[in-house]
Amino acid sequence: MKPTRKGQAGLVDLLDRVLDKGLILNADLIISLAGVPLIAVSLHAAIASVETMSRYGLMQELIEPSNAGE
Amino acid sequence: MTWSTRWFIRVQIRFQKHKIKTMNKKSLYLYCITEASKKKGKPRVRREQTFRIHGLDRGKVFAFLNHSLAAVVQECDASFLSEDPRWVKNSVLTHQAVVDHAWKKFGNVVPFSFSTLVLPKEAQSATKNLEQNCETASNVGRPKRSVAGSHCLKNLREWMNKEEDSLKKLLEKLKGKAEYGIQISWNPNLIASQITRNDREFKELEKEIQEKGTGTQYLLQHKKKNLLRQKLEAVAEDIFREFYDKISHGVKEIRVETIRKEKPPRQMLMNLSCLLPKDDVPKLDKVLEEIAKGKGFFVRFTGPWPPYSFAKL
Repeated sequence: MKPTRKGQAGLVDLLDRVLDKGLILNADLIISLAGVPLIAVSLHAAIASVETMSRYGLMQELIEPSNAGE
Repeated sequence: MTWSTRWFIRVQIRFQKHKIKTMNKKSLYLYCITEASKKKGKPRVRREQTFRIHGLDRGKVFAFLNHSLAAVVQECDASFLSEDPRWVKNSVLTHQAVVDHAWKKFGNVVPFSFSTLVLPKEAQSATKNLEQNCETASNVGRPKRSVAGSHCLKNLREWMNKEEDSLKKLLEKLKGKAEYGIQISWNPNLIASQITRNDREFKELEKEIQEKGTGTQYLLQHKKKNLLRQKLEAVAEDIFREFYDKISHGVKEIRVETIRKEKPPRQMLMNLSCLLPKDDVPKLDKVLEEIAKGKGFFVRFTGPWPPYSFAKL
């Protein structure tokens, strides 16, 4: 059984991680915006749409070689 | 309302949005922290650089350095947050794409939670030149451009300096490892039929129900339901322990997450986040394959993910 990031299971797992986890800071001028996780509930359902799935599959297209500097 | 009025309003709204967007570029959106190094030959950030990936609202993503750490950030509006689900879902995927990009490039990151912003201390003009504030200003070859308000960079550097040791320890712990999600579900109906067939206590109760009158039968049926639920819970607990032991044996760190709702009759038994070296994945594969062979059990194995669940200072 190989781990996968594809499909709805991968997407739900991704959302759980990006929205609910990760480094959260507690400094005066560094904030983690409250309220966003509340949207996550409906987002879990909404994000599984075909449109989003295809977009997810095409994430690499965000990488544009024209932005030199690396 | 005439078409010209509608058009005028639309143009006004667009203009206002554009105005807000261009006037409020004072905050920094944080994606992840990674290692910085002046030495060549290591996949680390060596200078302030722009990444070949767009951030939120197609903004430029760049690295901001202190002594030994680099923060992958982008300039953004302080009021960029929208509760529009379409905006949020696109932004979540963009956040992940940027973190993934940095992870792939540098091999080790501490990812920030979605929507973590550094805010300016006080209102001031939208952008300030990095040269005034950044230690790496004199670096040869650094791309010349202005970035977020100086207070944001100053705040970020202060925080990075303060947390440098803890972040370095965390990066050391996460080095060479990735996060994997494991969800194991079962069909309790299949286990329930085994219980009703084989459990002695259950059989005795069924016999009693047949012997009693209608009124008592009703109460005993209720008792039977409760007994089955208790038995199933006990079985689920035993299975959880057994699987947890098997899985935890091959991983460095494990976190038990809240179980999710599944489409009936399926029920989730366990939801785990596991941290392990990528080389150790085949061992875990075997364990999960073995579990998935069990009748009525379903296994989901996702990853590799940047270590979101283990990004705790």
